[in-house]
Amino acid sequence: MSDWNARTVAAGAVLSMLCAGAVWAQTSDGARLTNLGTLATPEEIAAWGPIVGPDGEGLPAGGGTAAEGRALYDRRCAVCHGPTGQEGPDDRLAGGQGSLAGDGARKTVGSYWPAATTLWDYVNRAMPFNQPGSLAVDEVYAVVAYVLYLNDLVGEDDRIDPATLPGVAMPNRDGFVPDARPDVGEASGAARRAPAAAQVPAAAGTIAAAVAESAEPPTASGGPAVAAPEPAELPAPAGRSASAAEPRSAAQSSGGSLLEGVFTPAQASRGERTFSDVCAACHDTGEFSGGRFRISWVGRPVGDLFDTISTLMPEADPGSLSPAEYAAIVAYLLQVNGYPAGDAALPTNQRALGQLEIVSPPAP
Amino acid sequence: MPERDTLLPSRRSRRGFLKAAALGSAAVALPPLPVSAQEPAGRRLGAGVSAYGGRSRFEVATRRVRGGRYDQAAGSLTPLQHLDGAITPSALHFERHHGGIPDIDPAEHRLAIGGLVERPLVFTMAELRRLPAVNRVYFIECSGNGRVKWSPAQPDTDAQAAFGMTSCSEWTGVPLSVLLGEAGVRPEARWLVAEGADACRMTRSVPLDKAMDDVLVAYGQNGEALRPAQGYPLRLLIPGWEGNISIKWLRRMQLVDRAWQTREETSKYTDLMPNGEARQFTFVMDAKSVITRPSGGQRLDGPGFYQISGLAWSGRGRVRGVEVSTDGGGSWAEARLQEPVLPLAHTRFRLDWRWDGSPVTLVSRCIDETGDRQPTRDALIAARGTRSSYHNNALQAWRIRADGGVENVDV
Repeated sequence: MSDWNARTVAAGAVLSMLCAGAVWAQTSDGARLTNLGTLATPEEIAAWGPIVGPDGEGLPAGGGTAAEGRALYDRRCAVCHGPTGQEGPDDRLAGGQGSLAGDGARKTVGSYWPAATTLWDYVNRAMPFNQPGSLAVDEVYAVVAYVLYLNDLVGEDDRIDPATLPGVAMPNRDGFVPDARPDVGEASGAARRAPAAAQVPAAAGTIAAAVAESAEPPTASGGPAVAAPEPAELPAPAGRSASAAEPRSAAQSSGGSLLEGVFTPAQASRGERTFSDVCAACHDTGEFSGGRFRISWVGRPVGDLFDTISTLMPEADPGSLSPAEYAAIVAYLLQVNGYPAGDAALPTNQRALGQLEIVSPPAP
Repeated sequence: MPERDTLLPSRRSRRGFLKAAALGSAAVALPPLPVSAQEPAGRRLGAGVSAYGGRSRFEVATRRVRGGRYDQAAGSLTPLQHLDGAITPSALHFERHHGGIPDIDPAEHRLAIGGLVERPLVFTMAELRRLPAVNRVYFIECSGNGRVKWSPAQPDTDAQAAFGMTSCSEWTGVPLSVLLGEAGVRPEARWLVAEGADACRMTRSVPLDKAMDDVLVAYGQNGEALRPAQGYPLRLLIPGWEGNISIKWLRRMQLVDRAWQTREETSKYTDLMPNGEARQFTFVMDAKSVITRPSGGQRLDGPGFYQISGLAWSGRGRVRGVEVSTDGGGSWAEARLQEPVLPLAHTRFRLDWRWDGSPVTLVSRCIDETGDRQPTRDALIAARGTRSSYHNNALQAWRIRADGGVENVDV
């Protein structure tokens, strides 16, 4: 058989040819039944990606701080988890400590998760939801540090790395107990056979309970916190630099207040068409106006809104529109929220957009 | 038309059961047969043969998508109330995804076994299919199935909404013990971490004792390949345990010395108790049953004969018996179990019944071979409060109104 693995059969495995030509495979304890499968080195299997254990097993080299993770969180995470990790709409990441025994239990990373390593493992394997695997190792450390920081579990400049992460003292690390069933009424009678789950090794005590205070994470290299640089991994659509075709941009004019007109009517109209063509299948403008808009975006730069949309959308092909198209969509959303149009178009330049603060929308 | 010997009273009926059944001893006038329609002259030929069959266009039972922000992190529910057997059609098997359904070419798919093993191995699908295989009928149930019962009953909740996150299939695959034997488990290994190939790389820790017992690495479902939504081309099948641990699109298993505290076994799938503690690794699905006919949203066509039918199952073993009450739990009668009664599989139960037209409350109660018996909702809440979310196996009741309408109620 051409596909039969010709590698030496492991000691003890026996393939015995019977006289009639039939082949019977036999095995004894500790022996292989077949010679199927390809031997791999532990390193080869580890290359399939980290599976991080509660003492930090599997954590790759690297590190980051909350200060470094803040901008990344704002851009990649806040749209689903809220500006401070408490607003949603998806899983709440912060707050709720001490709430578990009350009627209003809030299960968050800070209030409920027993191990900080879980956060790294999960962010690395599954986040952001629509672009899992897109964060670099140091970005994962940084955003994990930031989420821990939002829960007051680490300092802004504490470096989170393979040495410090397992030692972060999660408030609920002793809050988990083994399965206590059977536990209900007559069903818990002594006549019942012990369930199979009783064989499960208890997990208590396996979670690193190292106390952060006694293992003070080293602070970042000492320099002042600098504005987080653009992560190199972010998709950068071709032609991301400001389009020469755009007229004079708002940021080049006076103060560039949203109340003085930072986009043109034509730009908003183009944005409306694009929104209708590309976005409306999944989104209603109501998601981006009124209270929801104010909660999510007021106080932040227009650049955040631009970055969020241009990085994450459209979901099926993020970053596939041109910068001018993304800017037009942002212009349209600003118009929907009642901001006035003006003479200058909304730029596509990161720095210019970053200087435009989203102030409270004008009263309708 | 029912066979005479299936008519009431059931030989297994208990004293006190079914006051309404007194009618059963009376002669019942069967409705006249409908008059045959006139044969038109000539008949049209039917459809021809086809490569892959579908169902009749008159059949409309579908999964119901449970709302969420994203289709890729959502669930769909099996229409239990429309099904008659113990096996769930593959197309109606419930779904619960956390990162969408990946589109995997089996020729490209690999399964790696690493960690605390003598021989780290990588298998192709072709190699896995050459390993010794078995067929097993097992249910898979989400531990959140029946979650609505932590809250007071809403009249409109039907069997699909309340219990549609359980399905049962005949699975084909390799016993995990065989694969672990090929890799050689080192003595210090106690758990394995299983990882899926979906976008979120779903991960759970599995105790080695269970892994060596009855777990399958499955590639077949109901006689054909797994459906994509069920893990094509390869999934874990951990019978009797909460569905989330049966990792779909299985790509890797790493042997470790303790539980790995993945997000799905800490942040989710843990049961918060009133004192603020949370139970972890609550794997086993308790004994449960639900009457599917008649059930919420259905309507009886006036008094007369009906067969009560439903499903029972337990993650601890075989269903030993199902009792049915038509008076809200005041008295119980033994239902017939459809053979074969298989361990860790849906078991169909039936009881012939005659409705006298008065309002009644139907309840079913499953007892498994370990003696595990469904509790009342009140008993469950007394033990665990209302916020543990998972593992609610309380008795389910359906109220039949005088007009024949069926609604969800608490007992």
